Amino acid sequence: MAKRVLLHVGTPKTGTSYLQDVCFLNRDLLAEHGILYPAERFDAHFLAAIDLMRLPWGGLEEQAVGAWDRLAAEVRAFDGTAIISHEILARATPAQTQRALASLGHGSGAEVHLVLSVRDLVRQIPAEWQENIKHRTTTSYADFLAELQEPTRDGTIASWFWAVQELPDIVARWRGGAGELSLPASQVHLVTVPPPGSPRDLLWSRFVEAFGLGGVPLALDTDRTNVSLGVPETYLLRQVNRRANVEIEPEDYRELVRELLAHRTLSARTASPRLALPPSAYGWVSALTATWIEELSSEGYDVVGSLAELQGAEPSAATLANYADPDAPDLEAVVDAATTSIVALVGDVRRWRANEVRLQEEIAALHRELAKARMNPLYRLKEAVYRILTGGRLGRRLLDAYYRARGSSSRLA
Amino acid sequence: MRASSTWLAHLRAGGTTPWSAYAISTDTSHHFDQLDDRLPGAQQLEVLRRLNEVGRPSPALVQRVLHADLVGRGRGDLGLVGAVDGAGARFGTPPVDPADLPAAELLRVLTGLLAEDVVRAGVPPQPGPRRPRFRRVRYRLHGDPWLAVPMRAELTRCGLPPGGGRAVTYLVGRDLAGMLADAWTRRSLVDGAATWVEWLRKLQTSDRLPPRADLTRQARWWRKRVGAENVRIVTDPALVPQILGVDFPLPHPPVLAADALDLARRVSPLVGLFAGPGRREELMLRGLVPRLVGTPGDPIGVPERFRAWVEERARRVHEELTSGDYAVLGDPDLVLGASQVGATPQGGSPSEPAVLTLALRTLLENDPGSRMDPAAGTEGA
Repeated sequence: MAKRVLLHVGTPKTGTSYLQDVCFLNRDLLAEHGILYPAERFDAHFLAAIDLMRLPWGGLEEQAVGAWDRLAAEVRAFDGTAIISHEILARATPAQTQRALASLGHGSGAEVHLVLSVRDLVRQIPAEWQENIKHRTTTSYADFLAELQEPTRDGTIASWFWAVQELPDIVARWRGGAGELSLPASQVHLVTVPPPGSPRDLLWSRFVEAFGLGGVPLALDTDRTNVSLGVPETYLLRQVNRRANVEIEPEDYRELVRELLAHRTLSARTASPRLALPPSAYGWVSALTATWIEELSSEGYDVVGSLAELQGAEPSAATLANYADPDAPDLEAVVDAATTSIVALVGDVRRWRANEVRLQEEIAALHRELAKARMNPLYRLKEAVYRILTGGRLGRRLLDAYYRARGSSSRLA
Repeated sequence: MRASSTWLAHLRAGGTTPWSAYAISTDTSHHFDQLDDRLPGAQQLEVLRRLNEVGRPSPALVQRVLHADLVGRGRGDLGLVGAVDGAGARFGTPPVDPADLPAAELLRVLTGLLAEDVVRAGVPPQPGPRRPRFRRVRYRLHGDPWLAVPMRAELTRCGLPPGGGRAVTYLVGRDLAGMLADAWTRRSLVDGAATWVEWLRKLQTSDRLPPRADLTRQARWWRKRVGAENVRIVTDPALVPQILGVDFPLPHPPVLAADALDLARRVSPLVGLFAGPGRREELMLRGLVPRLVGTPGDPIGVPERFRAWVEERARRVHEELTSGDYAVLGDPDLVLGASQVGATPQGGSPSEPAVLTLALRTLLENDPGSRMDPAAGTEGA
């Protein structure tokens, strides 16, 4: 039974991918220090999460059957500290959180700690909208914001957003009410994402503190970072989605639109204006965040960083004046982004064509080798016998009988 | 004693009073043997209430419903309006009156339970293969997979597997509207699909036929591989036994009512989620579909707004088939299917309330300890 389980359940867009990648790449080193990061593949905890929450996920769910139980069994079998991390766990229902905690040994010997990394809504709202756009959504920013403010939250976007972003509710669902199996406040750790302009490694040092990784000489180089798009680039991608959703299959979208176009091409245009909260939404966000801070402060959770950082940066006059509306961007900048995209895609087609030519040459070489092999007299004799036998009914039966006797799978059909 | 807890006990005892009526009128001094500390979500509670309206669920099924997960994306467990207080009232999704929940929200509970049933029930054993025949039939059978796959399976079982030297490739199809319905049916059951209307809308927008319903495209593909002289298009599936010269009937694919098919479409990805890779197709086609075949109702039909497009595409297919470029067995006019397109102008599209009713009834029928109330639960079906 693991003595201690650090269960990191989100939230999305708070550096979780980086943390998970560092843990995955250093899992052997962590094990040497008595820390288990149970993963055979980088997305093992994601698969476990969709299995726990029974979430269909574009076909990936079929690879996830039993993934949570296997993960939990590995944790229970380990004698030390275990780390589990995936941001979509923030969305788990009370029944699922109770099942998860019990499976990890909560209430039967293991000390489970809930870790939640949190960032201000001023940055989370535009980041989540952009993430939606990178997953084929065509919803405008204005409609996205309007849906978030709908009290019923019954839209697809709002139900997901608040399930993974409303901090007091996430903690309440994972703590599990007031019963004796409720997770104590002292075992809840909130890691706040530092405000813009903070030292680059400040968030990482907070993760290190929260997860107790200080004594482990981790290699921190990873290639999995979440890239962001500017305003004209996001607008362009949304227009692409309108057509792509009709004409491009999901697997092609993932590889060609999200990876090639968005991540590798458009994200490189860092001089574009960045997505931001619209000036009109600051009042609503500020009032909402104040209630969250009040609730979280009153519970006495361990905070790594400061809950005040959740309030988000006050917009300066210049910020408000320079706000770039992603629903009505500078069209020249959009055309420029589109031109960049076309050139990049043509370059990629050129690489594919070069690859195709190389493969054709390899095939031709193999054909030549095959023809050479067929010049072998024994092969030619076998071929002639086969041709004669398959030309008549009796011959075919003989050949079939031979195949049966030999136990070959190449019997005549 | 809280009204919400006594309402749960009322539902456990087979009650059907809606929450809003119960919360106003209840006398909380009622005695119930079993009261729960943790209240399930409004979705699970309302599903149990609706099940009680349709029949008498067994205690085991009641327990499963109350502990059921909400599958797929959407809101989490919802509270009951008037029964939530403290931090729960200030944060999280606002509580609801369960009677106001849309059918789709209740189906998130039911489809998960039905998918569990499908996986648990497995599939009946296949009839054994017959003795191999001495006579060879050299053929390949493709085209509309909803038609071709069961025929091929039966031919193989009867000792006539496809393939062989100089085999002729037969591409079997029927009227285009029917082939579109077939393509969506198979996709819904095996791969996962958007709704029928959404799927048709995408095809119409891009003006393309799905590969499974595009006979001439398939014919071009096969001609490149086996030569034009070895490819035939068959426009009438009933001709296949005669064309192949077999003396036994070949199976017709099952026809599902639109509501039954839509329910199966919703259950299908969850069967994949619960059963693991490679099992969904068999569990759906040989497990769930045969149980839904008898469901009353019209099969899906092309809605009015897509008819002109389907008819236009059918004319283009017909022109290609009669151009002399393809060897066609059967009447090429059959692809036009004038009598089929829009044959069910009022029906032929699933209705969510009817799908919900069907899901409730199917869940009760699957559970050996439960029983249906024959007089109840037929509205909307």
